[in-house]
This record gives sequence, C-alpha cells and structure tokens, in this order.
Amino acid sequence: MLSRRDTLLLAAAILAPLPVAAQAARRLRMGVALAPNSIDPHYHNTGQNNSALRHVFDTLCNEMGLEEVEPCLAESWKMLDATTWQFDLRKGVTFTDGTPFTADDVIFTFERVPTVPNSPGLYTPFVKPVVKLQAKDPHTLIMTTAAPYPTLPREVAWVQILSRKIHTGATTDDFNSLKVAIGTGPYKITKYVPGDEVQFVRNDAYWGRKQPWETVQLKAVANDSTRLGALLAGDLDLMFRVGTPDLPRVQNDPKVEVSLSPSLEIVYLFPDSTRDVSPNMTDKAGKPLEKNPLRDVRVRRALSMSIDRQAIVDRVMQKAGAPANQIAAPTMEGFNKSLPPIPYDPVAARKLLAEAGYPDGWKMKINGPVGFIANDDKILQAVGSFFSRVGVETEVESVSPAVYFGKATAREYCVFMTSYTGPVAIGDLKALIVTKDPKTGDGPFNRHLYSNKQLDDLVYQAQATLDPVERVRLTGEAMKVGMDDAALIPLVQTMGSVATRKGVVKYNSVPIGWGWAMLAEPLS
Amino acid sequence: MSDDVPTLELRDLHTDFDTRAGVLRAVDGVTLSVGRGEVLGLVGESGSGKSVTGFSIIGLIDPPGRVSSGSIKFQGRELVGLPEPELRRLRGRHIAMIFQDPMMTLNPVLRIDTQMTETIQAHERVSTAEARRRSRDALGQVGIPSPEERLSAYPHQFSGGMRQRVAIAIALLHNPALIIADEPTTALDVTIQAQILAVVQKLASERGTSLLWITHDLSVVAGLADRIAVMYAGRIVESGSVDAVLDHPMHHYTRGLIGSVPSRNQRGHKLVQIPGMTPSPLNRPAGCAFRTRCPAADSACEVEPELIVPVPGRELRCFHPAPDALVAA
Amino acid sequence: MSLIVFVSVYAIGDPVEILVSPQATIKEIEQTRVALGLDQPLWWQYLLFLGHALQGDLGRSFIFHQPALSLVFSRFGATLELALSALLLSTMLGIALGLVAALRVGDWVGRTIMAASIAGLSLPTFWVGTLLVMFFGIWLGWLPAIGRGEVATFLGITSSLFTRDGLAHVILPASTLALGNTALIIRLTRSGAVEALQSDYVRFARAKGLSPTRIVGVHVLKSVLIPLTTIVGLEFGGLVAFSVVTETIYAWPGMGKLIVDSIAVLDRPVIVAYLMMVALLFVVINLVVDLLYRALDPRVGPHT
Repeated sequence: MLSRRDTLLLAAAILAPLPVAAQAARRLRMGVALAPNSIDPHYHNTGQNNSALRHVFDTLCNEMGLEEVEPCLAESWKMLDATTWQFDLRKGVTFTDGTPFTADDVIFTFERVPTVPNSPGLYTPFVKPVVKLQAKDPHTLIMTTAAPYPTLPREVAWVQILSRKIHTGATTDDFNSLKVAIGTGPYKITKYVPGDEVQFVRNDAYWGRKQPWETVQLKAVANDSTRLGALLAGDLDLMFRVGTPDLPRVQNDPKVEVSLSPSLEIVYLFPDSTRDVSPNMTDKAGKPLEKNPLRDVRVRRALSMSIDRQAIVDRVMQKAGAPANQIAAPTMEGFNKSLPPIPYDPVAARKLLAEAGYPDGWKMKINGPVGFIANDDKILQAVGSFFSRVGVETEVESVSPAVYFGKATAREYCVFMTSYTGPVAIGDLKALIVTKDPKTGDGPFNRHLYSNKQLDDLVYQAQATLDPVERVRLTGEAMKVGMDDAALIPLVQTMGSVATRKGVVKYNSVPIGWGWAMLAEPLS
Repeated sequence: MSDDVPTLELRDLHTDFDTRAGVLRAVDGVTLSVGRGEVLGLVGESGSGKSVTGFSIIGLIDPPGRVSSGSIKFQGRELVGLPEPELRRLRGRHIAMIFQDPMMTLNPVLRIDTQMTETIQAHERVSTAEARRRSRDALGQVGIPSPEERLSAYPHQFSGGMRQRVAIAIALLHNPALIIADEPTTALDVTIQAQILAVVQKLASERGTSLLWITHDLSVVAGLADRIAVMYAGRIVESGSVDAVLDHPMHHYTRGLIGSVPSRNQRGHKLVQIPGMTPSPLNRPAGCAFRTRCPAADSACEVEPELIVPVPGRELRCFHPAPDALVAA
Repeated sequence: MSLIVFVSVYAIGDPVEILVSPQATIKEIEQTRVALGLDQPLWWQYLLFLGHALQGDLGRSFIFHQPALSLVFSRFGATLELALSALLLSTMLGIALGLVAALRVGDWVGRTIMAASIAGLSLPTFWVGTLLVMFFGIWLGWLPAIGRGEVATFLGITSSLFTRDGLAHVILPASTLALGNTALIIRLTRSGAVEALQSDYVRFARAKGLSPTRIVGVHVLKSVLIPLTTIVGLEFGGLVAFSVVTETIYAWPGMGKLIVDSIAVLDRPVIVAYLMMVALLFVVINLVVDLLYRALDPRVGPHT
C-alpha cells in the first residue's frame, strides 16, 4: 500500500500533462455498481455521477481525498486576503467542439449550479461560500467569499465547468440526449443508457496526459457477485467493490488482481442523547423506561467500549476495513492523530453502566439499513450481540434504505447506524454533530439534534482559520470534544476494493474512491 | 364363389393382453376366411373379442397386448411378424378400416380435405391438387352433396351419418382389397344406418372389395353379409352362410342371439334373454365357454369342443348342436 | 388500479433522504422535497398524478428526471427481445422434449425428461442463472456473462437479435428465463400428447397407414398446440413483466432491471408507470391469446 505522499505524487504524475508515446487502440471496460443517472454535471451530486462525468468535464481542482487538492483547470491559487482568492487558469484548453475555455466560463458555471430544476441533490453547497466572481483577465479568476474561507479550493473541486457559449440555456434533457455533453475532459460520450451504461471515446484534443484507452465502457451491474462474475468471464477488465463473501476466494484467483484501499467512509452509531424518553427502550421486564439512559455520557461511553471493533473488521468484513475511533478517516485533513483507539473492554463497560445506575442494563432495539453499506446488517447484528453481552439486551432491525432514512430523520429510533463519507474531517463534523440550524443550513444529518456549544465554537473557529496547521489543530480539538462526549459512536472505516484482470490493466486507487479510466493503466 | 387364394385367412389366431390380474385371452383361437368380393359378418356381443380380431389383422394391437400365436394371411401373405413399415404400406392402401364413431376418429382440429389427402399422399406420390381431386370424387361417390365445399369443412360441421360417409370414402380412396368395418353403424340412428349400409354394399360389390363387417347387431348383417361367423368369448362358435345360420342356427348362443332380437319377440311378451352374463375374459370357464349359460350343457361340455363341420359350408363348436329346425317364433 | 399502486408506492418511505447528497444543507433538502411535489398531502399528489396521466404524462423519474413513461418504454425493447427469445427457446425445446417424453413414456428417456422438467420448475432462477454464467461464461469462456450485445436494424426494427454478438449475449439470459417455462411446456405437451396418442383419431390415422412422423407432427401436435397456445400466451406476459431476476443477474438493460433499481431508490413515478404498463400488457396479451385460440380451434372459431 502506497503511503499518502506516494499516492499524491502518483496521482499528480498521472494527471499532469506529460508527453507520452503514441498508443495503440485500446478498450477499457469498467464495472460499477451504479450508473450515472444523468449527464448533466450539475443535476445530482452522487458518487457515481461524479465518477462518471469527470471523464467528460473538468473541475478547477481535483479532490482525491488526500491532504491537498490538486490542480486541474486551475494551475495554481492563492489567498489575496481573508475573503479573496485568486485562481490562475490553464491556458490553451478547449471544449471538444473547439470553444476555448476562459474565466467567464467558470462564472457562468457558478451561476448555473443553483438553478438546475428538479434536482434531487444540487451542488449548491459548493458554490455558496462565493458571493462574487470576477475575471481579471481570460485566465485569472478572483473569487470573493462572504466570510474567510480557507478551504475554498476543496469546495470548488466539486463543481464541473461548463461553457457559457455552449451551455447557456441548456436543460438536463439536452445533456441526457448528449446534445450538449461537451466538456474539456479526457473523453467524449458516445452512448448513454440511463441506469445501465455509458460509453466514452478518447478526446484527442485533451490538454492533459494522453489517455491510453481509445474507448471506455462504464457498465453498471448492481449485484456484487454478478459483477465479479463478469470480470472472471472476461466481460469486464476491471470492476469496483468486491462483495465481502467473494473476497477470500477471488484473492486467491490467479487470473485476478484485487487491491484494497482505505476509503473515507466511517460507519457509526447515532445514540439519542437529547430526549428524556426515547422509543424502543424498556426495562428487562418490558416496562418503558422512565429516563433515557443514553442521556448519560457514561452510558454512551460504556456502550462504545463494549464493541470489539477489530472482531467486526476481521470476521464480518474479512479484514477489509479498520476500527474507527472518530468520525473521520486517518488520511483526511483534520483527523486527530492523538486520539487513542477506543478500547474493547466489556468489564470496564459493565462497571461504567453500574456507576451510571444501570447495573442490570435494559432492553432496547437498535436499527440499521440493509444493502446501503457493505455488510451493514451483519455489522449491526454484531453490535447488538456486543451490547447484550454487557447486560443491555439488544434486538436489531435492518430495513431497506428506502424506508430507513425517513424513519431515522423522524427520530423513530433510539440508536441507529449509518455511515458518512466526506473528504475533510471538518465536513463530517459540520454535517453530523454541529447544532442543526435551518438558517445556516448546518447539521443537515444531525438527526438526533445533538448540540454542544463548545464543539460548535471550535468548528466555526476552525472553519475561519487561515493557517492550515492551526485549522487542523482546532478541528482535532473539536473532534476530541465530540468523541469524548460520545455524540456519535464510531465503528469502523470501510475499504474500497478494486478487482482487475491480471496482466491486462492496473488501477491506481485514490482514497476518495473515484472510478476513473484516467487512473487505469494498461499492462501490455 | 371365391378365387383360389382368399383375401383374408385367419388360422388359430390368439391375441393376449398382459394385465396385472393375469393374461387376458381376448382372441382365443379364431379361424376364419374372407374370399374375394365376399362380405363376412363377424357377430358377437361386447367383450367377445371381435374388435380385437379386427385390430389384430391390421396390426394395431399395442402393448400390453400382442398377437401371441396363429397366422393372418392377406392375399396369401403372412402378416404376423411382418415389420412395421411393411404393415404401414398395407394399411389404408390394401386393407382399410372403418371405425365405430367417426366423431372420435376424425381429428376435430384438421379439415376434411387434409385428412383425406394425407391418406392418399401417404401411399402414392401425387400432387396435393390431384389428391384433393380424388378426395372430392370419393366424397361424391359416397353420396355427399356439394363435395367441394365439404372438403374445406371440419368434422364437427357434419352430421353423424355424413361423417361416416366420409370415413367410408376415406376407406375407399385406394380401392383396398379388404375393408374391416368395426361397428360402423352402431352410433347412428336406424334410418341413417340403412343409408350407410346401402352405400357400402353398392360400392363394395361394384369394386369387388372384400368386407369384414364386425357388429353385434344381427339385423345389420342379415341384409349385408354373405357369410356370418358368430363369436363368443374369444372363439368362433358357429359360422356359415348368412341365410343358413340365421334360419337354422345350431349353436345355442346363436339361437339365443337371434331369439333376443326385439323384432322377433311378440308384443306383450317378455323379451327373450340369454340367461347369465358374458364371462370376464380373465375368468372363462374351462371347456365350452358358453356352458354356464347354455340350456343344453352337460358334463361333456367341460371339455373344449373342437371345430366340426356338421354340414358342408357350416362350422360349429358344440357338443349338442340344436336340431336343424327353425327357431321358435 | 392506479389508485392502489399510487397509494401503496407513495405512502412508503422517503425518497428525498436517499436522493440528497451527504453535503446537502437543510434548505437544499427541503427544496428537493418541494421540487418533487412530496411536500403536498397524499390525496393532492394523487389528483395531480391522475390529471397528468390522462394526458399521457406519468410524471418524471425522480432519479433520471426523464419522463417515466418514455423511460419504461425505452427499456421495453430489450425486455421484449429477451422474452421473445426465451419464448422461442422454451416452446421449441419444450414441445420437442414433451413429444419425445410422450412417445417414450415407459423407458428411461421419457423418465429422464420428466425428472428434468420437475427440476426446471423447482430450481430457482437466480441459482440456475448464476450457474450458467459460471459454467459457460467463466469456466468455458464461450459466452459473455453480462449485458446486451450490439444492435442492428432490419426492416425498421432495431434489435440485438440481428447481430452475432447480440445473439451470443442473449443465449444465457434467454436460457435462464426459459427454464421454468420450458419445464411447464414439456409437461403440458407430454400430457396432451399422451392423451392424443391414445385417442381414436390417432388410431384411425394409423389405420390409414400414415407415417409416425405425420401422426405425431400433424395430428398430435395440432391438438396439443391449442391448449398450449393459451398457456404460452399467458406465460409470455409473465416473461415480460417478471424477467426481473434474470435481468438483474445478467445486467440486461430491460424493464425488469429498471423496476428493481427504481424500487430500491423509491423512484415512484417509474414504479407507477411500469406497473401500469405491465397491467396494460397483460390485457393485450389476453386479447391476443383469445383471438389466436379462436383461429386455431375450429370448434370455437368463426367457421360455422
């Protein structure tokens, strides 16, 4: 496994415009779980859309889940003052119909992003910090933010750039019909079947490194085993996400190369620490509890300590994962390196519970989704049995994501499990445990309405800190506050898996988990 | 009357069925012959084995049945043991069969012309148009009006009598030397019966076709057959010219049959019946099969009676033939 | 029917939670809810739906933002290909094996066929499909494991059945889908043929000296075909509507896969559009079968 630095260098090397010798016509067939649901790059912010559409459209910078973002359409950037950023744009870039790329196109893009109608999830959060855009010259862009925003490049890294000339007035339907599916990226789209596949052909006028693949096919096969079967049968050259039951077998297969890499996804439990009475909790005799035990931090800590995270990683996840001690992945900016791992200590857990006034525990039901996170139902079962072992008789219930999240938001559960994948630690904190505020829009997924002023203050302070070192320190402190208070109980970090046909292609994964043909190298 | 070689000659034919309850001897030693142009009526009640005899001749006895011994000669040629493709060549072409219920024997989902032309084309290489023409002529000959339209019709669009005429037409398509008719008029009402019999008789005598007419109805054979053979429990018990047998029956079974014909009985009197029931083929009494029901039976009848020729042209299996007198009116 | 579907689909779950990105703010979540019309009470949503439906608009997919009806339609062709191939396969194979089984009732050939047909009816599609992929796709490598092949246009119809690549891709899924149906047809054909073989008209046909080929191929087959048509017609509806499992295994881009994906993410307009189309399809198939039956069976038909 490459160190973070090496990965960074490698990614930079791949994406930098190095001259390469002429390539033979080559075909890459990639298997993914989900196909993009639109070709409009501003329509719906999902992992699969971002992965697929980046073959055609570029962003100002690339978010790879590493310490820093990388240049893309912007060659360099700097803060001119607390609320002003300057981005120096790459010269000589054209859209595939020949239209040149200029700073005005970025302005147009930022204008368009919040306006796309009927979107299930817009990219607006990423352009919101910017209140004014100015083109100093065709290749220099000045962005003004409302408040100091030291991490702005990380936000704009999610916005795919369109052309004012080509895309003015373009609707999502226009993109889906491929009429205006024109970008500056390394590939062009030739075919799109919604929910099923996308086909690309190489853009020979691309500004960046010339791609080795003449054609790329992105095929969606939802079922993990079927997708793997397709790889083994030779219908795919590479695929993402090997199903856990298939892992041991395929790791020994001589025809296949499997690589696991840590993802940015953290699976966690969210206990109801705010309400006096919470549903699905009774005493051992079946009578509803008068007081919600989860309000006591000792109870929450005890529950957290009762879980053998390593056992979950080893047995349920087949070692494709790592125990988590906070709501951030180790490679993320803001990860608190000094936080110790959460111990597995059922004896101490029982003692803590007794101290808090629950020597005999209680009965409760905890909830999770099924089919949303890899092995989600099994992880929940394991957690339930760990809780039961320290005296808290726990029943588990896993339901389909279609009904799960609505109920979780409605607080019908006392403890529920889900995961979060964010590129930076502060993002995770802001989304999950910062006080939910409709006015600012923060804490959108803080379902149990946890609120801790000390945590909030630290987070907002970090957000406004220009100095990266100080910012990381403050974020880490906020994380410590949140984790010490067991606002959430982190469980495990998942791993992404990529399987390739040995000797045919090599895939260079990045922590954020993109599925890009640009990261695939032919081996013959 | 007949030429040297009879059209059909059965000698001691045995047809058995293997059942779980034992071996069923449906045809238990039948000997008969039909001369060229002759009509032989094979008479017996249901269960006597007469239909099985007919099917045995044409080779349509399927497992668990089989012709276990005996000989069947058609125009001098042995049919028993003949390979299936050979038998197929004979069937429909040289030996034709007419079944009892034409509604069941004509395929309801195929048109009449199909069912006729296929018979022709199974044996001769002719064009469909030619085969159709011949079929149309055949329909006309059996007295079906507007044969052209009728050809395109389906069996269910015909009346019972018409259907049987079609069956006869099919039987005559190749001018066979022998036609085996298995109760062809049983399912028809009396007036139609008479018509059918007339048609058959006319055509058979015109072409010199031999007819083996299987029936339980004496009145039918009376008008049609030249000779008659009476079958009981798998054996021929009496045979001879139709007039001789019907006027002077010698076997008591024959007498019983004749006596029980309703027209022979007077009004107001109880119908004459043969006492008892036909024995089950699995359970035949040893010796003369009729002895349990025969008024003249005695201990001698416990031995199977041989075939005797009491009078030239007559054959009989009985130890105590009835006196040569008319049956009491 | 639309009411039942609408209410049951719309009353369950919350699509918004699934659709929005993790980085969405509260305001954005609410905006999405309003945009999809999900903030309105259920009865109002239904009335809106009805109003649009009468104009041929069954709404737009929450996920793809394309008209739900055209989305379902666009997938219809692929499913139809699969279903027709499966139908053809199962009919030809089923009738042939059923006839053989009827002709060889007692011996091992007939018994093997019948045993195989029971297996065909009982084995789960998913398992069989996966086995076929493993065997033919992975071990032998003869056939592609997933997806639909290339298409070609012939007489104005575009289909993957017109290319060699397309045919190679359709064999495994069609076989998987055809399995249960083949077994059914084998059994139906056999029992119909056994009955026919014992009938008087077959006996008569033999007495006419017809060859066995003709007897089985015309007489027996024609009478077996009539009830078979009804069953096969109805089965075809099932093949089209519920090729879900097969399409999932083989990533076949048809309606079945669409509906599975849509249910998982609660893309309600698509679910409703799909179910209504399937209902319509069944009605049409029933009509066609009725007409076919009248044409085939002279006793029922307009010949009198």
